[in-house]
Amino acid sequence: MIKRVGRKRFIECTVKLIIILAVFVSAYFVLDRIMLIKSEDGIVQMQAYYRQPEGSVDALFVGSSHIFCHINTGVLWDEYGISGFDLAGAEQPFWNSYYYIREALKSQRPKVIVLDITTPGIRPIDYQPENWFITNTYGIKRNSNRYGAIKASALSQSFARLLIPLNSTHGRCVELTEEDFLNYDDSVYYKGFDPRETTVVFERPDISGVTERAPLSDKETEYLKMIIEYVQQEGVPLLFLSSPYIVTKEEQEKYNTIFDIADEYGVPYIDGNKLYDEMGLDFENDFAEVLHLNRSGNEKLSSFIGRYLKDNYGLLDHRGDAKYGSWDVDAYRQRQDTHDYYLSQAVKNKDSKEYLRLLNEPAYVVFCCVESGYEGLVDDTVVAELEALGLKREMLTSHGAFILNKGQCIFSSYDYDFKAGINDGNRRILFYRTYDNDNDHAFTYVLDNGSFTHQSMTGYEKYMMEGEGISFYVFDTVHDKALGGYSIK
Amino acid sequence: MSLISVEFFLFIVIVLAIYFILPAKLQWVWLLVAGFFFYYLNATPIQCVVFLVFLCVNYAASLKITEDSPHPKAVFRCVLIFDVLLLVGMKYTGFFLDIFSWAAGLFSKGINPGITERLLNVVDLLCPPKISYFSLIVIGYMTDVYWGRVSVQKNPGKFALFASYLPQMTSGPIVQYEQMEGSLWGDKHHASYTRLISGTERIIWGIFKKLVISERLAVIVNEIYDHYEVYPGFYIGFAAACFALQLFCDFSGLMDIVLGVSEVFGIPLPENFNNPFYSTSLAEFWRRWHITLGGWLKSYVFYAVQQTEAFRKLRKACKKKFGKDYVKKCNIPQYLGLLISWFLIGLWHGGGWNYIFGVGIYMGIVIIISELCQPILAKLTLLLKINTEAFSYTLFKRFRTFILFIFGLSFFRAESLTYGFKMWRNAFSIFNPWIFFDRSLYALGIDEKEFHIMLLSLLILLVVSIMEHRRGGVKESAGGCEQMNGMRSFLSEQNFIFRLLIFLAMFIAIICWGYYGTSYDASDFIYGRF
Repeated sequence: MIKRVGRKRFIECTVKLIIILAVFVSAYFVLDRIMLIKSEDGIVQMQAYYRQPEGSVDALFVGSSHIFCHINTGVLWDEYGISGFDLAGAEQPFWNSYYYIREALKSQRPKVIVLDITTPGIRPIDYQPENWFITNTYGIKRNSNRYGAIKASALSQSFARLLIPLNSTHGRCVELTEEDFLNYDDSVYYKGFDPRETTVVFERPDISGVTERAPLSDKETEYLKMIIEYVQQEGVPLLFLSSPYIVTKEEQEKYNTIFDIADEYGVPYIDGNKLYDEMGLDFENDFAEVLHLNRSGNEKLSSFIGRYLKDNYGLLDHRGDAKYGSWDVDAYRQRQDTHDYYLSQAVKNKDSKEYLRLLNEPAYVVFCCVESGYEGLVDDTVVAELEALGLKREMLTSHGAFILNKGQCIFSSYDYDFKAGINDGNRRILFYRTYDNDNDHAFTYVLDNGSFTHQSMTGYEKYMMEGEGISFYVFDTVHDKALGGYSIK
Repeated sequence: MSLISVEFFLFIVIVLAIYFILPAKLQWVWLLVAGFFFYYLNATPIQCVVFLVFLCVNYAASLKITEDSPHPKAVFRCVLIFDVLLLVGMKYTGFFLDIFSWAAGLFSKGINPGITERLLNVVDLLCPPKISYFSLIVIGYMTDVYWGRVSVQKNPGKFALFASYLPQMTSGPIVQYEQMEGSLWGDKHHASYTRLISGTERIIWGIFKKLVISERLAVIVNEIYDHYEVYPGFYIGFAAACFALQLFCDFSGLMDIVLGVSEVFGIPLPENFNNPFYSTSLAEFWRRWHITLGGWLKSYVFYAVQQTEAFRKLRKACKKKFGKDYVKKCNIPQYLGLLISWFLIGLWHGGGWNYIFGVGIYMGIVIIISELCQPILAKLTLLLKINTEAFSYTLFKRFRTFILFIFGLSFFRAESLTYGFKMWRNAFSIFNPWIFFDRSLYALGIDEKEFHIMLLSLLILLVVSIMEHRRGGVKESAGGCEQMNGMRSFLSEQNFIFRLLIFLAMFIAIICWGYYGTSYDASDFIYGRF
């Protein structure tokens, strides 16, 4: 073959073929990266985990949403200086936890691994639906652990297809957003926590009398034992956690079986559904839905777990250590998230005073529209809150549009030059209001890369202020997101 | 094993890698082994046995039908009957049972459904995949040998390779022996960068047509065809047009993959499509659509029928009735031959009256009528002073041909002949042109974004077809097979980087826009089922 083709031609063709192959393979991997579902149900957690400074994670939490919705890494840091990470996936079965742990121990040597054991109770299936399969496997880098996770998770007839993520994810091409193309350079600050925000009232379940045992599937038992043996072999302490939720008798029977296995191997465990009082959980305010705690509930659980870990595993307080600076940022973001959460609760409860009090937060840029003649219609305490925000009493006497930040009015529609400097990132926000039912763009302003100018609406995000009264629209500069509006009428 | 699967392309890469290492003497043997192995992967053992029996019988018979053999005619007739019976038995048992059952019903004697079902199950069990292709290929070869057009292939392996050549075994084209004997064996085929790139480009283009265009159109077509009662008026016409484009992209995409793979092997296969939508008459259309099937029927049915005693007598009778220039006035023998050929084309597509009518008799009748009306139309255009050389007139003829074609083809997709007619009755039940303007088309299974992707893909297809048409379409000859001269020859003239970028774009389009993987159940190629 080679003899007939000139040597020069042969080299030229070979080089071209290598270039073609390299280009096509690169294109494949770039597309794979773009199309990957940026899900906080497991994938982003694993990607962020890879970016953590080597040897920095002291407490590794592995398992299902009972980890990433319940273990508030910000609280662990703020209260105990624990550098924790929620490396979990939605309804994560033991076989995925096994490979997550194997992958995790490549770059970190945590002082303790906390394993959530609730999936066999809540979702006792040997093969997950594909949406959960994706979030529990595709976050792992292409290596033997990922292969093992897919092999263990996929039915044999789907295995070959599922090895190639684009088979499942390429349909996203019509829904791609900015974040799909961004590099997650700052994800070192993300510690895996993704809480639920709703509040639902429940009756307190009583499983104190449940002593029966329900069997696990062979696959569940096999992988649970594999996890224990592997972690013990690696010399890392393991702790089982049955996180609190509205548990049923049948589910608790499964957990009893798991606790038996824990006893057999000498693994300690926390049965959260028997420690509601110790954690201080309140069934009127602390649950998001049947399976999950809300922000208020997870703060209590996290505080409890943090204390337990501190007392039993001698974890160091890393606060103030530059190596752990990313946990400072994470905690700051969690605090801001909590603040946003309480602001949303004030809106939900129509508690204007609480809302105004919470608005006075340096991270907020508050857009405000005032209908004329409001002076005297609100009581003095409200006026005082408004003044604290930077909205002076005289501004309430006629129509006006204002931007408030750090107790200052940084923009007023009374100004002629329409300029206000503000450090809010690169968001471009359209700010306008309506009179009655007729769109009136008299107050159409655009916040564009730090300057505030009067521009046309096209191409900008639109946030409409509600018609009458004093309307607010809040922008959270920590998370670079709009939080929505509220009106005092 | 689907032609669009990682498994298939891995298989081809392995076969290719070994193929190019082997000496010339063994290359064809390796192709035969690979072809048989591929067939084995796609068939049950018993179906493989039927296929082998078919090959053995035909090989043995081929040695006995040469001029120097005793009783060549009798042997040829016997083997022809065997081949036809096998094809009919395997493919059309259900169809003939339906007819028989209907006829029996006329005399109040129905057929026991249990017996029918058992018989159909047995046929399903025995029916070797791709019988519609390999049986025609072998029958053509046997006829050529009998007629003395080609010499008999005495090597059973080479005979088997001709009948079961790997790429062609997937879905045609329906090759003739003289097209293949020069390239399947003989000189060594060396690995060629040019052929590798050119073939791969063609494969990528075929996959694009199948996964990006055809499968997207299929969603619309399926939605309207499956619920035609709720999609009256222009919806039906829209679905028929979409189906024509779907089938074109599906079948020509399949051919691009087959021909691309074969090109990499260094074995050119004949083209099956030559920009059919540029045709100005239905007769021309069918010379550009499924070219090898039309060519096969012309060579082995139409001409053969014309040579029969009955047709000789008919020609004599016509001469007596209409005079010597009966050919111009009313060429009944030719029309009858055409109708027989069209009936067989329809039947080849499937055992159902919708196939026989839609892609068979209907097409034949329209062609005959248009031929009969030709003098009238010529006078009319002269009278109305229509410039028949103008582009607008050509465009009109193309549009007219397209409409005539999609009407017939719509029955191909319908579940039955009655179903097809009901659909068209529904098409004329309401005048609803607003569906093209009020976003109704976005509610046919694909949303606005998907619809725009489809339009963009069709635009790309249009650009490529314009380039092919302007460059003369199928014309260049390579190894006895005519080849498409279009986009690929244009690309071959371009710089490496530009060429790479074009196909990188196609690759990305397939990855992003293709219907494959989890969310979609991309059906197999429509013409892969025969």
